[in-house]
Amino acid sequence: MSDRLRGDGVAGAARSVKEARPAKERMGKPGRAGLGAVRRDFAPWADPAAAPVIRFEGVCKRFGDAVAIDNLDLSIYRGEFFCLLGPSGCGKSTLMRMLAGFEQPDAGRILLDGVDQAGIPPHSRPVNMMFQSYALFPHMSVAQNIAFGLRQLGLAKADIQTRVDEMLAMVQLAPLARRKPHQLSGGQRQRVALARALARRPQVLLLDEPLGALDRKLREETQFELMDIQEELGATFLVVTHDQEEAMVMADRIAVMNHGRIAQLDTPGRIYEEPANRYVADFIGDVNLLEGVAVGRVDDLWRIACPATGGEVLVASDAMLTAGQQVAVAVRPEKIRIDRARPPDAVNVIPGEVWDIGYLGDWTTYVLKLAGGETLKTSRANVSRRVAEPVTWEETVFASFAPDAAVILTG
Amino acid sequence: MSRRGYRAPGAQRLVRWAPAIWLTLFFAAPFLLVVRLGFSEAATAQPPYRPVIDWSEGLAGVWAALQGLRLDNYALLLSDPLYVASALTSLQYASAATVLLLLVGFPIAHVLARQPEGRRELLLLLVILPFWTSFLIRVYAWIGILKPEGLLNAALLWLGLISSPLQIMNTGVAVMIGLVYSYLPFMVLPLYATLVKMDHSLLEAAQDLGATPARAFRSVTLPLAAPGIAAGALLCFIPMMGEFVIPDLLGGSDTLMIGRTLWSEFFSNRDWPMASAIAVVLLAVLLAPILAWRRLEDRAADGEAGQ
Amino acid sequence: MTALRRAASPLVLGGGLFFLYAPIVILVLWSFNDSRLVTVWGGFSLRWYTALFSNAPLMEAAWVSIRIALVSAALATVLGTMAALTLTRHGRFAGRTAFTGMAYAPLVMPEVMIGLALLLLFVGLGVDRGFWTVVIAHTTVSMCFTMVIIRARLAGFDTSLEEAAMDLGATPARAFFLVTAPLIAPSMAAAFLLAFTMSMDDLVIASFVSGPGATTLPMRIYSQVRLGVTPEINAASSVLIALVVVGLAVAFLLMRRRKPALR
Repeated sequence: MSDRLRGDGVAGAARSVKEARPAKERMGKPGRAGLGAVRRDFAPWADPAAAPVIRFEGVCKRFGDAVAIDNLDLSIYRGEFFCLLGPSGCGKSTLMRMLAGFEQPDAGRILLDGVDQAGIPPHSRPVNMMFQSYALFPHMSVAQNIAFGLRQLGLAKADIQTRVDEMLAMVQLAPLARRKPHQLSGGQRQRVALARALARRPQVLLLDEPLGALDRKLREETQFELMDIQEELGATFLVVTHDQEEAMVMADRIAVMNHGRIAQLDTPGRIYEEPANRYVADFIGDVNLLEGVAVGRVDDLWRIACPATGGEVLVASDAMLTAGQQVAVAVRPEKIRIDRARPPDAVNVIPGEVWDIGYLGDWTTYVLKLAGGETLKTSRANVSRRVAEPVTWEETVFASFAPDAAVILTG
Repeated sequence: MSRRGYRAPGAQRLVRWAPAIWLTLFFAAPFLLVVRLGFSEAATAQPPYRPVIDWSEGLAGVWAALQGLRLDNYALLLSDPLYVASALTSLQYASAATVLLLLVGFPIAHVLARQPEGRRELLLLLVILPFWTSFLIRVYAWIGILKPEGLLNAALLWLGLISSPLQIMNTGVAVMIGLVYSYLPFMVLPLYATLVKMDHSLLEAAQDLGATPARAFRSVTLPLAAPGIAAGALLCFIPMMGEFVIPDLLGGSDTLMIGRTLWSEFFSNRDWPMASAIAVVLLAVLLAPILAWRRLEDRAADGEAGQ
Repeated sequence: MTALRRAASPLVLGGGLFFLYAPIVILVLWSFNDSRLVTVWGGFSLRWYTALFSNAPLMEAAWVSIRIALVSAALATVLGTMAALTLTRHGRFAGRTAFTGMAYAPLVMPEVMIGLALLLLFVGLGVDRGFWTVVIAHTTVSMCFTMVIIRARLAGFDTSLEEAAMDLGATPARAFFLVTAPLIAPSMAAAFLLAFTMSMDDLVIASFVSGPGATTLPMRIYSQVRLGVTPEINAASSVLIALVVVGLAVAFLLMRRRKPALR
């Protein structure tokens, strides 16, 4: 219960933060219709002429009997901030480790800038990795850690020093250059790891759960720092994470992974607002999945018979369905309104009894018990401090959502 | 008995003091006796030495004793080439064997530490297992292998690598083989302990940052394994310095290691004060390594507690 | 390059294990050799075992050794547990450095020195040397090893378990016997086994502190071994090795079976 509430809160925070960003160059064109918030006008994947910097072609990887990566194709473009998102064991880390050269694919090719990486050892690849544990060398100072990769390049001492200073300035750690890793806080260690991985100016930076070890507040700040650094350097960032908030906030595109396959590859907005299947809808954010059967089409609406709601719901969708097909109607909690009286103009109205109330400060979540016994989750932004007549437990209320607030899922 | 009820001070005091008293009585105190006896004079009596201090005379006796402290044993130790030579031989053998042990033990520990977790424990057990069988027997087994008509020579002759048996038995080579063989688990264990704790992602990070495997080994693995290397080296070097069984069974009459000299001084010559003087010198030589080893162990224990 | 590296680790392990085990295996094989010569296989024979078991002084020494080992291992386990508890549970106390110094030094101290030192003590105290002096000497050395083993277990042990027991009304002593002891029991067993084998194995210290009527097995073996390879000793060694292997196998299986229950 608490997990789901938190999940909703996180998604809510992510959205509100994104909309509150100052109108810099990263904002999309004003007034453009889109799904979710648009962060920047950057979509090389939509350009058929663009050459990807990373290509996975039919990559397979097994560990014993377990399939880690199942015939996977993926292209990532220069300057892209890309997230591999999925639960542990979905293969996302394996994919990244294959790119870094620590694992070899059993089949398929991995191309970096058009060059097949097969047989190239990790130390010769133009990628660098920020490790989940940070993997800072405990016997070296901060400056020595950052200089390590540069020393391997055989640069002159002075050049190394300059670059190290640059990196230290970038992550604001100049005063701590002589400290050893164990004398740093978690956040500082994370920055050293970032600076060390970026010092060689890799074409692609791989970040394995970059914020996983930080506490929540620091994580939010660091997300934006990472985005700023990425934009400043124009580098390609590939992030592996199991944290959907991280992926939603930072990524240009997200690949949601499940059992070695990509369940959906899209922008954060589309992933959230137009999930491709039940797995993605459920994994990202909070969702009500109402199982039902397609009945027929009315104009651009599909009529879906949902036993849980005790009737039919209308969903705006251009999905190609056949009557009688099993589908799920996915509705995000925040897209469901609740009223004390039946709203006269609403299309999809579902009566229910308030079962649980979760107050999160910025949001309040209401869990309704429907006539058939199923639950429906709704949430409301707390836009004012005082509420005259708050909805309370065991009250009967009417939940409603617009036809275009829901998505029909067949997968 | 105190009436604090919830505590059992008697039991706690016993737990704290019993081992301390035992060790003071049977470990620390005897060494003071050794030091004392090192300043005595041999006598054909039972026990075969004259006491340094005659306690029956009280303080006066102590004073007389201090004036009469015999440094003869030490003077003889220094002047007789036999003792100096055996001390140097010990140092030589112990140091060389320590280096050899590192060269043999490190690859084994390294490979062990990199095995998958399940297999690792079993293999480690296999490496330690010989340590559980009798030391004396394991050294003895080498006699049959190394002696002129032994297995090794027979094998080499059969292979045609040599035309006449090699004299390995009763030489320094045999002693070195015996030392390396007997102390190998003591070297592998501390090395393994540090290597297995090492975060593998550090090596990956080094390679990711452009270091070849060889460089990654040199700049990451070796420095991080340094405490284990030092601990293993000391754990082998210190007891090897006083080793008796190996030089006695495998070495020749010229392989005079200091432990063996002490033994023969004691059992053959019945010169207890001289044996004690040798022990004092050995203790003095080993004091610094022992303290260094203790510091390492303490630091390792603190590090673990801190993590 | 990678092929070379892939071949290196089995090679290193195989080589290392061969080096460690070959002498032991050869020794056991010899014990069944009818011939006196180590390079000639005279056929399978148990004659050395027959000779061994009719060698009265050797059998007597074995019995002495076993009794000494049992008593000293029991004492060493108790004292080692106490020392380990003191070091892990009592934090800093006056004399801790001196105590840890005394508790660890015997691990590395050359045996000739310990033997000589204890002998001087026993002579100085006017104690008759024999069974008990060897027991004391072996306990002193073994307790340091048992302490190390048990301390390692205690260090990885959640103190809150003891605290919970005390919170639930157990006295510290009861908390130890009801909670701590069952959890460290496997390492106490391992410690006992180690102390036992160390005592069975010791030649140098026993030679110093033993007296008439308390000649231990290693002392007997040593006096025969000095004269060269004797097949009877091969047989004796094989019996000892067999005992160790069986003992360890049983201990290993017991621990294996217990593990899931502990977790």
